[in-house]
Parts: sequence; structure tokens; C-alpha cells
Amino acid sequence: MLADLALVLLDTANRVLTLLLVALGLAVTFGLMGIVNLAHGEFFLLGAYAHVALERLGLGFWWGLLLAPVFVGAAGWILEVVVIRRIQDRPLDSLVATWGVGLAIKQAVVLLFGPASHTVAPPFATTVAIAGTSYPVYRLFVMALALAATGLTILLLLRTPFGLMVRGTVADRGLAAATGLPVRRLDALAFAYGSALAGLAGAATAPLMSVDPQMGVGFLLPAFLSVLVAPASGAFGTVVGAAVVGGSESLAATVVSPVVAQLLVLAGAVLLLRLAAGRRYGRER
Amino acid sequence: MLALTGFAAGWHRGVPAVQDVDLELAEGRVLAVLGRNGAGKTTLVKGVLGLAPWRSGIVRLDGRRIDGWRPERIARAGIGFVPQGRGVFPGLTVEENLRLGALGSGRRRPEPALLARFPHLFERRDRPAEALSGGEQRQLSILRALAGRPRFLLLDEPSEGVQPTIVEAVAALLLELVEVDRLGILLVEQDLDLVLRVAHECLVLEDGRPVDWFSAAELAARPQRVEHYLGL
Repeated sequence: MLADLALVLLDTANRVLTLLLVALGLAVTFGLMGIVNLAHGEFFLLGAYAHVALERLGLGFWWGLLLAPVFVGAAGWILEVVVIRRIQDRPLDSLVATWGVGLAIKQAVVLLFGPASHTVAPPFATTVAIAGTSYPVYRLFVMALALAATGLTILLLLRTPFGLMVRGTVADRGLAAATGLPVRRLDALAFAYGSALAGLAGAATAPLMSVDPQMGVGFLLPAFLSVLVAPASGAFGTVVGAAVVGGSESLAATVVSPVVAQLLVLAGAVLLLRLAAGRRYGRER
Repeated sequence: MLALTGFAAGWHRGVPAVQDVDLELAEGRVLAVLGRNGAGKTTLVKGVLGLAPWRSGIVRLDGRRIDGWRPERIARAGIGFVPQGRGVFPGLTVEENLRLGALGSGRRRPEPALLARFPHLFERRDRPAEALSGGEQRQLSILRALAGRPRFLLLDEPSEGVQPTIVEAVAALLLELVEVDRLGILLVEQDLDLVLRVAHECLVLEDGRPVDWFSAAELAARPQRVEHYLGL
């Protein structure tokens, strides 16, 4: 009984923290910068495939985990400079453009790696005994990595000049420019950082799932929901958002099928957002 | 020297919102820009800063053309800006606002003496900027601009909606900046008392064009000359 409960709690914590790792990048690009990047799921995919490719090149797991986010961050930088900054003030255009970029990335992956799935072996295949149940050590590592990435992002945004300049640019872009802040470079760097986080999530979770061209789809919606239902923008709010979305999804999946659980969470999030919007509208009136 | 020649900026009903502006602002001088609401005063300031679209003409800073530059480059060249309204970064503390001013000019932190100019802001340095009163936010906006150590300061109606004691403190600071620090100040203003207190020359805009130019001494002798333009 205790072992079953421990397993449910560990799986829930694992789902929440894995989702947090994916949503963290969105918290920066969407939550802070307001860019609806529908290619975020494909950046997650790109991180996993970069890990596969780097392993094939003989660089090993840890180099793959380190370099995949760098590669995806560079891809994010290019996307911001070439596409996003030209349509930043037009949300619908950026929605369509990033959706198109996502499709292009997915097709490029199919052309390069084929439609079949790939696997990345975890660096440690051992398990550890926790409250009467044995749990894979690598899953615990991913959870710790998510917490570390969240802490690092919070420190970056709240304790560094870069973070302060990003928050200033988000608060008032025109004033930031007139103050001399390099707003365009900050946009590109922040977007690259958010993309790198998606790449890190993909590279880190690659050993936990089959790496295939559809793997980003399942994470995109819950990640967006996590940022949307977050009580505040930024990394802090996303922790709460991921806990609400990932936690309720994982717990609901213990009594109903995973698909029904996802639908229930989606319906709940829509209801929550509707109520929140109603309250906001009421205040504005 | 900040100099505008045949300057036009912005867009209003098919024509530039401000045009045919020629002016020179030297360091240690205050030029007041007067005019009714909608005369083009704010567009003039924003146009110089690159925040409103440049249409034609030349802007020179110490002989170097800066028209068409991006706003952040213009700011880094030594032109500070205090916009109309509060002019602070909401969600950030007083200290963070000032740090951004310093970071904008490539410095890590503002000079410690900066907050001494308005000591009550020093006491509130950990408070969010939006928690300050309107007048205090205006003072913070001026300090934020000064944290970048500009040589020219462009202020857009710093007295608007601010209580008289704060306007008095702002006037004293502007005089100190001009006389001690030798800043050149372009002051968009409708408060004639403040203009008389700090300005050396006045430019009047009407429908986006300069229509009159006189010294502060002339304004003091014949205030009705400008009251006519302002509709007072």
C-alpha cells in the first residue's frame, strides 16, 4: 500500500518536473516576452535528436546533454533574428510563422533521421529503493535537473544584469531603448535561452521515451497550459503552473485513462482561464 | 551641441506631425519647447530620440549625424530621456530602475551620489516603482535618465500632474544640472513658471511647425506673447 502510494507520488513529481523543464523555456519566450512560439515543441524534439546525433558521433551521453541545448539555443537565436523580430507586433503572424517553422523542423528531422523512432541509453540504468518501491535513478536525475534549471533561471532573471535588462525590456520596451538598453540583442538572447531550455528538456528526457518526430506534440499543450494558468509570469509562476497541470494530469491518470486525464486537465484549464479572464474584465470595468 | 536642421518626424493625417524644425542646443543651456496639446512637442522629442519615425532633415550631435540611428544608440551617444507620464519601469524597484539607467550606458551601477539628489527616494529604494506617488515617479524617471550620465537631457512635461513642491525640487535639480554639470536640456513644458525659472530660450510649435522663438527674458517681460499660443 505504502509502496503503491510512493510510486504514484514519485511518478506525479516526475511528470510535474519534466513538464516544468519543458515549460520553463516557454515561461521565458511566451510568459515574459509574449511570443507565441508554436515551434517550442519542435525545439524540444530538436534537443532529443541533437542528443541522438551527438551520441552517434561518439561524443557520449554527457557531452550530448551539454551540447544539445547549445545547438537548440543557436537555432532559437536564428529563428528570432530571421523571423520573430520582424513580426513581433503581429501575434497572428507569429503564430502562423512559428507553426510553419515547427513543421519545417519536423520534416527536416524525418529527412535526416527517418520516420522511425530512436533511443538514447541512460547513463545509469540502476534503481533506488524509496519507501518500499524501486525507482529508476535516471528519472530522479531528470527531476533534479529540472529543479536546478528552474533555480538557475530564477537566479539569471532576478540576480544578474542580463535578467534585469530583460525584465526592464519586458516592462517598457520603448523606455528600455531610450535608456540605452540593447533591446534587440536582449530579445535574441532571451529567446535563445528559452529555446536552449527546450533543447535541454528534449536531451534530458530522450532516454525516458522513444525519440520520434511526434515526441514534441504531447508536451506543447500542457507546457502552454502551465504558463497560462501560472499565477505570475516568470519561472516562479511556472513552477506552480506545472505543478497544477502536470500534477492533476498524473493523479487523474491513476483513476482514468491518460487520454481522458489530459482532456479533463484541458477542460479544467480552459475553465480556470475563463474565470480568471472574467475576474480581470470585472476589475478593468 | 545638439542641432536639428529641417527636421521632420512622425505622421499625422498624411503629413509629418512635426516639420521644418531648426534648433541648436548647447551644453549648459535650457531650451523650452512650448505649444498647445497636439502641437507636435512630444513627437519632436521622440523623433530626435528615434522613438517616432524620422521623416527628413538632419540631427547632429557634436557634428555627427545621428538621425536614423536606433533609440538605444542615440541614448548611448549621450542623450537622456524623461518621457511624459510616469516614465519608470513598472514591476521593478527604485534601485533596479536606477541600475537600468546605468546599464544602458555600459555601467554596472549608478553613482552612489545620484540618490542623494532626492533623499526620500533613497529611503524607498527597495519599493516597486509603481508604489511611489506620481511626483516621486517623475523624480525617479529623471534620476534614471541621469544614471546614464547624459550630456543632453530631453524632458517631456515633467511638471504635468505633479504637486508644486515636487515641481520646485525638479526646477532646483534642473538648474543645478545646467549650471554645475553643464547639461544641455530640451524642456517640453506648459508650466510657464517652470519655464521662466530654468529656460534660456523658448521655441513655440503650432500645428507641428515652429512659429516663434524668443529668449526667457523676453518671455518674462511679455508673458502674454506665449499665453496667446497656449490659449491661456
